[in-house]
Amino acid sequence: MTTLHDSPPRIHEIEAVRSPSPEPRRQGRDYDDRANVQRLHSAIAGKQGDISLTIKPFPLWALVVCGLAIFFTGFFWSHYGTGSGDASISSGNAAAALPNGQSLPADTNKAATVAATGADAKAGSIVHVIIKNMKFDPPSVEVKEGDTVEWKNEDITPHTATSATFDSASIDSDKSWKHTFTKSGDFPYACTFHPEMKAVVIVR
Amino acid sequence: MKLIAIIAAASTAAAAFTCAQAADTSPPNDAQIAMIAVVADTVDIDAGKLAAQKASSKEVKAFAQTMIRDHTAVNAKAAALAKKLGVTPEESETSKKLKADGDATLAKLKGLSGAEFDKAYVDNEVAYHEAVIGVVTKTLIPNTKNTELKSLLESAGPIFTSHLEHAKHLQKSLNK
Repeated sequence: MTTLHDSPPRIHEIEAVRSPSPEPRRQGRDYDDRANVQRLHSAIAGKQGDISLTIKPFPLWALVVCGLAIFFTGFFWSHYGTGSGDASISSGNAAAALPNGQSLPADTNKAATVAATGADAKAGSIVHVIIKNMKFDPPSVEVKEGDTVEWKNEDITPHTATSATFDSASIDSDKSWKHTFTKSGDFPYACTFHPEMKAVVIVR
Repeated sequence: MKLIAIIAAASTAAAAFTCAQAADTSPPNDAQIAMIAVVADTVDIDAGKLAAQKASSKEVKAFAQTMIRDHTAVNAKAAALAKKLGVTPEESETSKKLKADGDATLAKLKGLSGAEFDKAYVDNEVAYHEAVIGVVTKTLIPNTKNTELKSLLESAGPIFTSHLEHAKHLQKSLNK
């Protein structure tokens, strides 16, 4: 009875095992899974392929943008960093400085020297010489070794500051040029365009 | 007018005619002053260009280059100011005379060469700058109404004085 009773379920089991329907389904699922895994792998590989460009600390374009930003910041800082200091100083003295052109160079000089010393004493001070009305003002500046002299042309016409050891070439109107003095001595210089314009830098 | 009288003294031609004409001329207005300044610069630029080609002395050539460079810079400033102020430079008897005298000088210089050219050019530059400085300080600046134009003419003064000193120095060395 039991065997009879047992048999149908066995057959059923066998049939069930033999029945093609679950097998292909499982195979199909396996196949699907494999395909999914393959797809996943290829997706990961693909993503990794993409990520390999961006997985670096920064993408290339970001590095380029940052590099350019740093370059231009540095460029403008070096050109106008001290200039903006002067601007704020001269605007502070604007009422006094503008009607009297002669007082401006002296004020700028003092302030710039102080500012440069405060910023970095080791780098040396910056001393300003204004070129105005076909004259170097002041005509004689005394600096220390390592100090920098900056010439600013406030004339309409171009000028140069030229000696045996340094040559600015043409400094256009409203432009500046600077030179750092590393050796002591007297450095007489002139404007090559206007030979009667003479001055001296004394380095102690 | 002193301007014309001085220019006539500096140039060689038609002095008597110019002085007679000068008596009728009224003081120039700002537009005429701007034109006189521009023409005065241009005349010297043209002479400088010729000298930069023809001069035999290195120093004279360098001086000519400075004349071209400086007067071009002054003219650029004057043109920018005229544009800003909305002023159109206006011709006058004085500006026309300046141009005519400048052309006559150029024609004369073109016929010369070598040391002779150098000397004639430098002599003319001394006389011309003396004349221009006189005109700017005695006629143009006192008659200029606009403060910016006046300030430009005032800042041109030291430039012309420097040129005069430079030319006189050359004159001395050429006459040695």
